[in-house]
Amino acid sequence: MRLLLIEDYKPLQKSLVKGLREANFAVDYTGDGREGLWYAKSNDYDVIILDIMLPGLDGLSILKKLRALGDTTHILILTAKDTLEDKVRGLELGADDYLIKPFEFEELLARLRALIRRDYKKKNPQLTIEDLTIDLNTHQVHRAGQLITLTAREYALLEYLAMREGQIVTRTDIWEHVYEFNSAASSNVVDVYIGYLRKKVEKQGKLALIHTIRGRGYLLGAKL
Amino acid sequence: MILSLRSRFLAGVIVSIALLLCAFCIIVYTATRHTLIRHFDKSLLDTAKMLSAVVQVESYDAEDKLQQGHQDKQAIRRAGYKIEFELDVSQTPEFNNRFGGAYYQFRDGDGAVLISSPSLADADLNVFAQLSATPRYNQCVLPDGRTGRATGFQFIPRGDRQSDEIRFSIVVARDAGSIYDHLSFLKWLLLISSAVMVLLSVIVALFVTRAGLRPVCTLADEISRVDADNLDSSHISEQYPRELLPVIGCLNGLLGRLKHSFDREKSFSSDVAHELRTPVAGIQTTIEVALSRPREPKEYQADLQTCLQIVKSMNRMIETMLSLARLESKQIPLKHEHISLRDLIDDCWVSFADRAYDRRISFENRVSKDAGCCSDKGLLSMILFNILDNAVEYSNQAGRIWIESEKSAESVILSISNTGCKLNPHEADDVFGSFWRGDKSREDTGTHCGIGLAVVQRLVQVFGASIKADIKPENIFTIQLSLPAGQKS
Repeated sequence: MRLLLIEDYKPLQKSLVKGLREANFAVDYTGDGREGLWYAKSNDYDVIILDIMLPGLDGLSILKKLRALGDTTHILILTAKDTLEDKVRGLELGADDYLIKPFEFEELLARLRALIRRDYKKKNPQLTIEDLTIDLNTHQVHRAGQLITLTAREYALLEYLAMREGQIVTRTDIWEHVYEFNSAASSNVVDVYIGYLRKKVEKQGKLALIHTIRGRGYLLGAKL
Repeated sequence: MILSLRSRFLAGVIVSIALLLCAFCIIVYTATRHTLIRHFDKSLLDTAKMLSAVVQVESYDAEDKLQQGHQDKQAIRRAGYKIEFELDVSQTPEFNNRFGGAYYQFRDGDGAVLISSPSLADADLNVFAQLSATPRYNQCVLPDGRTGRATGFQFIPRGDRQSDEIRFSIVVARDAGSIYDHLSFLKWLLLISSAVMVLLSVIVALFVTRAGLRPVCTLADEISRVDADNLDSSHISEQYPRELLPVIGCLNGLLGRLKHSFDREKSFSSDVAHELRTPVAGIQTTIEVALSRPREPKEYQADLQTCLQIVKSMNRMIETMLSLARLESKQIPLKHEHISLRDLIDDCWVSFADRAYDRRISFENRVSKDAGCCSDKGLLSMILFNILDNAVEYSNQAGRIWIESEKSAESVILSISNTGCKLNPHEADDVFGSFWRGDKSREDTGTHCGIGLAVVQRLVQVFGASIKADIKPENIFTIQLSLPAGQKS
């Protein structure tokens, strides 16, 4: 899943990016409000983590502009502003969640996952497709009860396909939700990672779950 | 001890009423006494004059015989003349009864008694030591023991021997007990009525004072309800007597200033606490992420370095806040020493040299060598530190920072300028608001503390200097710090 982090305090920004990436999120980040707005308008993020006190353009203005443009991306406000008035204002302007600094990183992760599940209408944090189970919290994948070890990128790709189970997912979709803005990947990198996933998920003659829809993309599911 | 307003008012009213009553009583009593006695004395004098008219001095020879047995005409023979008293006793019955309350006595020039009223019997009526032609009056004790008044004067009796050499005197006295009884009654009446009036005035004054001071009590109640929590809604209404309106005006002004100060303190404290949240979040997240999985030692070292950098930055901020709090509460006395500004600026810049070098910012200290001021060196260092921190923070990449000085007789103005300002000129004063960040001008260095210049402004206020911000053409941001000039000791 791809996140946009707009936070101007460098040490926090650096740690957040590191932690989120280690939690298998693709993270774009900036410390400038205007640049953040541009990122948000240019890409389809799953969640935007937004600070309020920002140089260039404050967080609430970014929020207003995005909502005015009809952008429905989930936005989590991450700020030191802790009064009820601030919270109500942020939520009423269209934020989906509000977290006050300092915060537990685990809580941030849990909130992000909840927002993403809400986005893809998945209430259960354990996704099951036939005999394939994906734990969205622990990032563990099992097939027929057997643990499958995946790299971070492979897991991110599988998670996104699983979130859109039964739907045709284009390469562009995958690119936008699994890869970061500055990824120096070639156009066929998605196909390569799909190949890796197939090898790990569908090995030993098990039922094929990842289907290629020629000219359109991929589909995760038991049947086409 | 300061008396309460009520006691003062009460005492003032009672004493005033008592004094006025006292004066009134004295006037009434004196006037009455004077009138009564004057009328009495006039009547006494008329009687005396009438009596003096009955004395006649005639020459006589040896053959003359005194008329004997004539009740209305008594004569006293002296050498060469005789004295006759043609007094009709029936006309003056009051003088006939022994101790009847009215007396007269004639004396010759030598003081020898010539004749006395029958009422006097053998008693004497020696009221006046000396008499003249002018009538004299006096209070006296009558032979019967009662209080009376007497008048007396000298006169030249009529007759053929009338001359200045023969002078008699007459004293007439009459019982004046009734007058003095009336006066005594009047005196007690006035005294008792005055005492009653004073007592009544105490009761009335108590009610009047209470009623008069009720608005003050109401005002006191209203003021007592004002505290730090309801300063926002505290405004003393002006529905009070006109005399209290100036006080209420002053109180409302005071409440306004208090509210402003409280708001400023609340806002500042809140801003400081708020500003600490972000670095705390930075430390917490860095540690949590570092501990989330086993890592190489280098990674831990990098994370610890990040935490240390944040802690140092927070420590600077906390130290500044503590110093500010202590200075404002006067826990630290301000020193007054001569400071060489050029040297002090060089010392302060050392802390920023690395940061400026990393961003290729040049620095120039143009302050003249003899520029000095008389102030607290530690406080001034803190101010310059924050201003330079702000200048490095907001200066553009490869920008410039320079400091100039301008001397006048009473002050030294330090101008700290930096390039790269993207603020509008009208936003210059906003930089002193806590938490206000020059959004558009911010270079992302990530170490900024949003209360730097707000702190500077408060520090400057502590020692009575002045500070202002200015935005000049070519994106130059200048802070002007006016310091009291000092003489080199």
